[in-house]
Amino acid sequence: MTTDDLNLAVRNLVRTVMGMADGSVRPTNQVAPAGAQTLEIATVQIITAAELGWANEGQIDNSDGSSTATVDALEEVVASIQFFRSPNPDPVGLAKFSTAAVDRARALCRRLQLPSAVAAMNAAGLGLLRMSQVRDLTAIADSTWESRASVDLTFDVSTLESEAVQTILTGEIDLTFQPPGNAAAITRTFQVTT
Amino acid sequence: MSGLVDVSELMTDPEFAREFTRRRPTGTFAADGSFSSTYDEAIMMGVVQPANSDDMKTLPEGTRIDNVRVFWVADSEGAAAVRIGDGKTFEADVLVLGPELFRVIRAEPRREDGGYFRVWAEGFVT
Repeated sequence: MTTDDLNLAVRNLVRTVMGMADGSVRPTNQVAPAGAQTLEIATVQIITAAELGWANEGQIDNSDGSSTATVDALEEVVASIQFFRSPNPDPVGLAKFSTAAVDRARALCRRLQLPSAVAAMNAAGLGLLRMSQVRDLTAIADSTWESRASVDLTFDVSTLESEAVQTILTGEIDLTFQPPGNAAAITRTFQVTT
Repeated sequence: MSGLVDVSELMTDPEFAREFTRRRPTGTFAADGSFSSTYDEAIMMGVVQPANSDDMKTLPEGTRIDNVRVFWVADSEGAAAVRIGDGKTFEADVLVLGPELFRVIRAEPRREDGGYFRVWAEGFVT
């Protein structure tokens, strides 16, 4: 899986598990308006990826006689999930101080253990290993409070890499026989198929 | 109270102004949260100047002054003329001047003198 594929899988997981609106769980670092101050959103960033151990090597025999070498690598990937804001404005529409984002991050950790979330992770090829502490990152943004929280999720991800193996499918073998005496040599050509 | 002289007339006067294209970003979020940008184009008239040392005082730290242009654009050019992104609901306009592209980094409305904008835009390379 590419990093974008992973990010997409985690975004879809978070959106489904948390019941968030379409378009509200986004990749980080895209040039896009973030929406009004009281619009709840979350972002996903793949922050580290580490190979675990040595990849499992294999070989696939194709129907045409050629072969494909494969390595099935296990990676430990950390996705940082950030929740922003709270749908809780004051009477003039300013966002109030709120711990809503922290509660959303805490709820994500619990909801990822529900059977439906486990099924969604299985379908997406994600194995949840660990969840970090939830961090409250609430701060002043644009002169008003912005509720923010972050949690890191560590997943096991299996990635298959492959390449064609140089294979001899057919070849010719020339055999030259020298009969006794001065008779001319006899050459025979054989087609060999693996 | 309006000023006695409508300075904004200068910004559409062909003797002072030149034509440029405003590309206003719009876009939509897909269900998966990815954003697709599209740009609405409008041909506009305005006075274009290189930024000077006074402009530098108003620009973000580290901005290269020789890469910044000042556009004077009348309100009459329509649809809030030229605007900077607010970081919440829309992104900054891109101004196309000949072969060069500039992203709006500051826009100062001048309502009192006939209605126009003084706009600073920073060049970028595609």
